[in-house]
Amino acid sequence: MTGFCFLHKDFSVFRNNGCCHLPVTLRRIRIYMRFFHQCLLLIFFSTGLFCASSHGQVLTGEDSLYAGLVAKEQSTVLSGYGEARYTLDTRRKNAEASLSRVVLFVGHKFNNKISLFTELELEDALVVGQQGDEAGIGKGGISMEQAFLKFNLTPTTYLVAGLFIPRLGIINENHLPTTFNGVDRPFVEQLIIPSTWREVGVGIYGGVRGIPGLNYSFSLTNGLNSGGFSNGSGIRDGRQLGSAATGLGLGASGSLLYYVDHFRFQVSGYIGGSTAVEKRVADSLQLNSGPFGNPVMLGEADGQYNNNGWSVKAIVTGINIPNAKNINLAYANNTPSGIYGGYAEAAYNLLYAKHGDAKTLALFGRYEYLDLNASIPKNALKNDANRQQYIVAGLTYKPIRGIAIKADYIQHITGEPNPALIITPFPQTVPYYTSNGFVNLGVAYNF
Amino acid sequence: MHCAGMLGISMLLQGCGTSVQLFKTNTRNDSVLVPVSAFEDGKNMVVVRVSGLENDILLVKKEDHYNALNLRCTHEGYGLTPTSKQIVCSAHGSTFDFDGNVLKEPALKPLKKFNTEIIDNNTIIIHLT
Repeated sequence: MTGFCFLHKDFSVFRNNGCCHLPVTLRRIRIYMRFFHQCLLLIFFSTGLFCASSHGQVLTGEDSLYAGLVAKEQSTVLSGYGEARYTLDTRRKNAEASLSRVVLFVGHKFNNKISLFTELELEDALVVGQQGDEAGIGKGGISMEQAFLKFNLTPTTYLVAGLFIPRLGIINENHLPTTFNGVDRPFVEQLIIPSTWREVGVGIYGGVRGIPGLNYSFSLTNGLNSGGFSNGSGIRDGRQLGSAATGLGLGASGSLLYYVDHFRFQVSGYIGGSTAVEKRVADSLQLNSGPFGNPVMLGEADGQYNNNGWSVKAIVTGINIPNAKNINLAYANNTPSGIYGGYAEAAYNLLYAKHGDAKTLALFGRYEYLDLNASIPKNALKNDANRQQYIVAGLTYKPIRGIAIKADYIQHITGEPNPALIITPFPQTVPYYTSNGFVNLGVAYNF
Repeated sequence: MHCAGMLGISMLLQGCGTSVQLFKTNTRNDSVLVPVSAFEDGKNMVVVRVSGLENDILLVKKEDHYNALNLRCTHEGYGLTPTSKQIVCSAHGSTFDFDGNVLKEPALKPLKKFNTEIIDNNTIIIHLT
């Protein structure tokens, strides 16, 4: 309002200076100025009307979605994270550089009970280009990583509904690149627990009253698609990820998470149907249908310790697919019946003595073991290349919270691949190294 | 048998953690009143649940004052759980100390703190605004 009065006053002065005696050019200028003045008035009143009709408020990452506590019922928040990497393959003498992911978080609080959480993810920078410089070279993917409504029942209990990430393992729910060591997410939590695993459904989360630190979750989502299972990637390619998931299959998962002193312990499990076709098709493929037809069972237990600059974590996990034989009959995808693995990691913040937790230069080491075909049905082929070890060592430097600069070395050791599974004949077959080293460099942010 | 097992686990867990008292109350003129007696039996913190407020408030007894911390994670706004050593977010793993400072990401900002005062040595006032 002050600005408007100021402008108006200036124009009055202009008029009082005898503008009616001005030459034609100046008169035209006066007409233009009057038009400009009217436009300003229009913009002013439009803005005022917009402000008056809007109850919400756009905040930046500097503010919390819940800033204001009492007075501001509605608010909208922009936030995000991302990471870029460079990987040198020491045996193949090749390298890859990529903007691994950029995730944009948009949240909106409708009122004190209902909020919206969305995460839009672009992986590897470019999806597709039809024209111009980017034509035909896109290798990336774009997806909604989360989009759900959260309904608060009490200050510690809430429901979620939509596309969300069930609490399974460590990384699935907590996958921000500034929160874990190493450029890569732990491989056990990519290949066995297929992070980031999200599906459409509902979930309830809460804390157990009377036992501080004990939290629970239970969720019901759509099921898996066993047609997507493949040798060497476990159930990862059977995720439906909220993309028009088919079938009557359901997935039920639950967790118990307990914080005590400087420890965090968790057990979680999943059981879900994997028949993602209608009953008529399932019958013809001799697959069970229904909510838990051809079930997949996944379980894990993990523990973490953080104190005085030390950070230690470990996880064991396994998958059982009792009807793997029928899945192989239907899809010939060499589905195993048993998978298991685990890892242990220790890290120490070399800057802890001087900077506490505010700055980090973490020296870490991690050992991972996994067997993606620990047991197989009679109609599957064993592949020792699926028995893998990863020995990882490196540094994570965080000059401030929210920024991470990473460097690590990975030694990847596997068994010999089964020649019966090699379908590309010599000399086109790409050489396979049972022991290979990778040098990784990465940068990551979270705000 | 099942119930006995659950009871056993529950008792074991209760033994590990320090029970934090939940004190329920209402607001009065944008303030919350908590009796000092809520800290009896050597307790050093109380969770205050205020009717109409979205989040609990953790009231922590210090040497000569009380810290009142909004139990809402500054990362994505999830409710926080106090344990005997720290305040944790079960959703994404952020941890805070009892002054509200961030100990572990992904949260980047400290917890919102409310001003407190003690009147007549028997009532703690938490000022919400």
